[in-house]
Amino acid sequence: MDILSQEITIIVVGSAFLILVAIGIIVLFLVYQKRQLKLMLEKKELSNQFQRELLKTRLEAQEETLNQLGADLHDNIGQLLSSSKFLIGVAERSNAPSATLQMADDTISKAIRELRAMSKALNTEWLEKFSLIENLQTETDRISASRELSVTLQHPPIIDMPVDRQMMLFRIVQEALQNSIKHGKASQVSIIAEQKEKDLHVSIADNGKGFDVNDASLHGVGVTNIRHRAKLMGGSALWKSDSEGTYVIIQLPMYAN
Amino acid sequence: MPSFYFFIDNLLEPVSYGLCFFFMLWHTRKNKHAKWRALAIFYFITSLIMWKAAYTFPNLMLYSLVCLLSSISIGIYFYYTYHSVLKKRIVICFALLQAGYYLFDNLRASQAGVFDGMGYTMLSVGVLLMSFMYMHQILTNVTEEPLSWNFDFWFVSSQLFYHLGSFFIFLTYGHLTGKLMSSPNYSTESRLYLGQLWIVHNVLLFLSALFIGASILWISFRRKSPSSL
Repeated sequence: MDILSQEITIIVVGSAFLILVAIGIIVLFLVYQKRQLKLMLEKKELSNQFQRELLKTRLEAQEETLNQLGADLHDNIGQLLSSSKFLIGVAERSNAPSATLQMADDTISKAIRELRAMSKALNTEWLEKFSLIENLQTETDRISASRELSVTLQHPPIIDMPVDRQMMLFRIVQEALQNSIKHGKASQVSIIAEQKEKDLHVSIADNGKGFDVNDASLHGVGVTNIRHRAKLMGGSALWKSDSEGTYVIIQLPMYAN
Repeated sequence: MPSFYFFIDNLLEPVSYGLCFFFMLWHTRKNKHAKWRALAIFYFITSLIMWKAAYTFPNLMLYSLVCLLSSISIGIYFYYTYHSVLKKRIVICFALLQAGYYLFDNLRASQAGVFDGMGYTMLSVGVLLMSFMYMHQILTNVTEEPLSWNFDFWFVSSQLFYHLGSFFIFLTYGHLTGKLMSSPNYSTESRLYLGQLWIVHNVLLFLSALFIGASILWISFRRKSPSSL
């Protein structure tokens, strides 16, 4: 009887232990799944944010392009057509109109060429064929030509990054450039893009007046946008600044995780 | 009027299965999947068999039959619950193994005349294995719906609770009964003492039935709660 009693006690204790194990497994599972679900929802939210930001970026890029188009139409084609009209008027009043008409013909041909180049650049596929390097090059050329500012660009021959991410990164660099021009009053800006394993590092250094990176009140929309976009792309943006200039380093994975 | 001891020793099992049948019937009002219907039918038949077993001696054949029915019905449940073909095949193997064992155990000439611990232990091990495979499935397929709203999870948890808690009892009960019966010190008192071990099992079964009922109420309450929208 005593032995039986001992055996039964051992079995009951063992069963009680296993019941506790079962309860532990159930609770652990609920907690773990809850945490996993939270992570999944966060990831989904991040993906949604990325898509929203991407749409915003596309709209900004389209707006920028339209502005550029307006300026080109006014400055180039408009001027060429005005010149042609003037030359035709001169030819009408002239005794030897053939030479003037030839000049008008040349001018109109140039306008047509410009128009074709513009339409080629603006066809519907441009967004899909977006190239970070080409756009950065155009941007630096444009800024260097129109302002008292020298912008240099160093980049690898190819950046193997999805188009959406390239476009987003382009807007980040554009924002950083705007900061250097508007707030930093810089006269020299250097952009260096380097591919390091699975990451792309882009640094933007200027010789502007700098700002206190620790003072949050000085972080305008530009800084916030850069940081937000870099975070959405799974990367980071870091500033170093003193009275001799500002240095921004943007580190991004080539592909979304 | 049966005494309280007789009730928890003999009638708690049919009452627990009856409760499970009632809860399954309730659940199948909104969820008409074949697996829940199969479980409802199983619980109904089992509660009748257990009721019969409470007033029959010897009742070992009835317990063996319940073991076989459990394997088949829980096998059907897991078969429909799993997404993976491999897991479904494991379920089929488990059900075939249990059926094979049942036939072997009932056809063999030398019936031991004691509770078939082996069959129930095999059932417990199988159900535990399938429960863990289900847990693996929900870990690899996280949905946006909270797990606490998933009746499958609560049902499998109740099975885990019952079969893990009863594992040692199933494993040792038949052996202890055989040992006690062959002992020169066998007495009604010692037989009743051993019976208390089965009472622990009955209580676990009853708790697991309440667990199922509570989870149905909880899910229904959560789904109706405005804060959950």
